[in-house]
Amino acid sequence: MKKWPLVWNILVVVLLLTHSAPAFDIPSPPTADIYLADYAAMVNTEDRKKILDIGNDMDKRFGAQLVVVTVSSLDGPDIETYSNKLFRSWGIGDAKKNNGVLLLIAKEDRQFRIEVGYGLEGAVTDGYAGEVLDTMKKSFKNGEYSGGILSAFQNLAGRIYGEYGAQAPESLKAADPPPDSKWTPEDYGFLAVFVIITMMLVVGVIYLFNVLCYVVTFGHFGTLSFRESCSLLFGWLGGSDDGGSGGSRGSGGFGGGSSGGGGASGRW
Amino acid sequence: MKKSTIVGVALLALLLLGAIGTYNSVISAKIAIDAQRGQVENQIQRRADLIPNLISTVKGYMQHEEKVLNEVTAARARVAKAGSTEEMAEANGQLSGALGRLIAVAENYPTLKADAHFTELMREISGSENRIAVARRDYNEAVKTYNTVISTFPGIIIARMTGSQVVAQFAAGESAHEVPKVTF
Repeated sequence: MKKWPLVWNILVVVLLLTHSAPAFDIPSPPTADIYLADYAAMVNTEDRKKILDIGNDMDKRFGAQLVVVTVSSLDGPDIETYSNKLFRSWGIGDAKKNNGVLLLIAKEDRQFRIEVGYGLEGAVTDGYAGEVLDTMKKSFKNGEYSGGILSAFQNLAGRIYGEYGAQAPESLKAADPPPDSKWTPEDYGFLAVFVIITMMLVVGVIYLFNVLCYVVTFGHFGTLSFRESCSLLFGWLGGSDDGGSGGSRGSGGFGGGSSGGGGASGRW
Repeated sequence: MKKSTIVGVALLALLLLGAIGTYNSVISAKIAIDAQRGQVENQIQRRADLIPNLISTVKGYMQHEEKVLNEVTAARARVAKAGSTEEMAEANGQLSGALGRLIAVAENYPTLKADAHFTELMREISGSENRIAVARRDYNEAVKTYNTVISTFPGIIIARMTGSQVVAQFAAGESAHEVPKVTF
């Protein structure tokens, strides 16, 4: 066995290379609006916007990526294999934190799965993932695809916000019955003052940021695009933005996260 | 110094650098296998750890199914006692079979199926099942990479020198360790 002839050697290599993982196609990752890849057209415009807003917010703040993918058919593999491959090849979540979650729905196969990256397995346990799918299943059985997907997304997002000890944005609470708000004139007055102060702060910060960009880029700010000057600035500061990985990732695409197959699957 | 000496030394240095690089790639491929092997063991262990909890939940509902329950407990004990990864994988297959029979029996106990704790545990168990499958696949991928490295040039030279052998993949078919899914 030790002295293999060359032919045997080549044969072994060919065998090793051809005996590979099952081959099937997954869609190529979206480049824009990455939190919802609605290939099976199941989500309406209004819900789409809500999903993208929340997705964006979480990505910016924690570098966590919660992504919905709908496809018409899996075309062969079981949903677990499919979702793991898609999760890894798209790279959902931050590459170091692996804090991605994928909600995959195969419309014609009537199957769905929540796949959780290593980093969020504590926040979204298999048990919770199963619960979320159970709730979604009820909506799906009534033909409410868009609403079902949105509330599943909101439930998962709630867990992710909780994981990072953060307050979820207002749009998340839309799942609950809307509270009856009785606003007094004073409330409106406070709101007005609040808005004005916030606007002043924002304008001030933008102004300071521009000045900083201008200084750091040695006056090139005007000739560079916003993104270029920002990346120059962040490159210069050397990864000082440890709050979120959005800055270090730059382009706003997927972060290169992985998953070990955690989560839950189901059918409706 | 003669020109030929310089050329000779340069060539030797290049060769040495190449050898080091190849050696490193063989070693890192080997390390990847070991890491993935550990991952497979972890995930099998993780699922086995859920079993005592499952048994105690189920016992309250099915008093007359001693045989099935004992089978599951025994299979779990075999996983715990396994000496090697292969033994562990085999015991894990038996555990899956026993769990499958338990789930089949559970179909006759609607109150058990409605138990929230049982539902949760079954979800964790099938989640673990999928983690094991993923870990096995990753292990086999790592083995494939390693085998390719040590059977092709230049890795084959290093492999011959260090006596590295082709590593076997996990052979058991996917169906052998698949747990039938509970439908709620």
